[in-house]
Amino acid sequence: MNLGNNAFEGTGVGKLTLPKVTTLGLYIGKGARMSTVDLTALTQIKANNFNGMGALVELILRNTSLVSLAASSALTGTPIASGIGYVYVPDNLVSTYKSASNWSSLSGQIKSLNDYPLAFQNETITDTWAQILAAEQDGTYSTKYSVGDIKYVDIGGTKYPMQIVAMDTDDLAAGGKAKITWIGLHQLCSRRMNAADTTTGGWAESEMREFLREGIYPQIESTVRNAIKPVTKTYRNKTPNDTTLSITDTVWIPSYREMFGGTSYDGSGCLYSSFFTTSASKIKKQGQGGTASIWWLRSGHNYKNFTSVTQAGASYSYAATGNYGVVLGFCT
Amino acid sequence: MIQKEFFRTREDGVKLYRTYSDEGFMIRQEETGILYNEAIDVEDATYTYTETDIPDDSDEVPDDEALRILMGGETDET
Repeated sequence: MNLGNNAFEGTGVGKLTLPKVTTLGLYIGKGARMSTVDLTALTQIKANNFNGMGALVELILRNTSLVSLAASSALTGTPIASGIGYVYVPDNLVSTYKSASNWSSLSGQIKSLNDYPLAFQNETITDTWAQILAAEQDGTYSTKYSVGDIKYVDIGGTKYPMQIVAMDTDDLAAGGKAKITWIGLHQLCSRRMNAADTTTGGWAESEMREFLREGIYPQIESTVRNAIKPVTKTYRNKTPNDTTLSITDTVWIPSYREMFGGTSYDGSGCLYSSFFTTSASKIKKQGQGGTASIWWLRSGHNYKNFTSVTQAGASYSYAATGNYGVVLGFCT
Repeated sequence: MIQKEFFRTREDGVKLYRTYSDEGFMIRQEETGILYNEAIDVEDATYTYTETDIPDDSDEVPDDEALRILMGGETDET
């Protein structure tokens, strides 16, 4: 796929994500305010592709092979050439780029994608949240988006990646099914489940649930927050009676059944088993590029432990006062 | 004819050399087949280049802008 000459000349577009473009036309963003260009399939940069892009501080090249640079002047006039912007490439190609023809003159500006400091590096949905919500309204969401797709949401000024793990699966409290179920790609933060090592009252009365409802939910960007649908969630209430209970939630952390299936903990509830198929798929890191670590599930294990997912993606349980990862979920 | 000249020394001390055609043609990197307007390589790079008969396209402008210039219109080049 080719992007034509002057395609974004003079526009106010801030970020350009082009996953399928293999060749660029001349002066694609001349005079534009574009600060980031994100390219996945591009194979070559020609002399005049980026000419006149005075705001370009981030050029992301995701191709798993070297993208050739036809002339060192191709980035002249950009902050990258001035030494205040960067080119981000796959980690295993950094040294290749630094010694490649013409890229060698920009070696100080070439960095690993793993070091990309801003959010959005894994974002696969370029539509805005408003467009996603409109697609839910007109019924096109299931053709536009797929399980596994990622969209960042602003939570108190932090960009947090949400991933689609299911469609038409969660039960709306008002009846029917929620169109899209989102779960965080990484851990949002670390937190204890309760102030004491107890599971009394289960998820419903846990400090964690209150924290999500009172501390996190109000900070979610309003476009998304206003579209979050209350859903019926189940959880194993170990103490005082080993029963599966239901509660209405807007924001939540996953249950044991949602991650691992079966009825050994939660006797009922929806399943995301088509997405979380392997141990690796259940691993959640402490942010992009962070360390994999334990994160909480809302199902009780015994009188003092809640269930969790280990750093290897296996199930385990820990005492409720443990400071472990929080992975946010919600439905729209 | 292919020319090679010292370009500059990087901050890490590595010397860079510029290879180009003094006739204004694209050059081909023989090892990869990739065409370059010019090629800046580290000192110990072992690439070899040959001159092609393809004109250097670094001054190329889009057709509509070229037409505007030919018709005497203003260009937004600065």
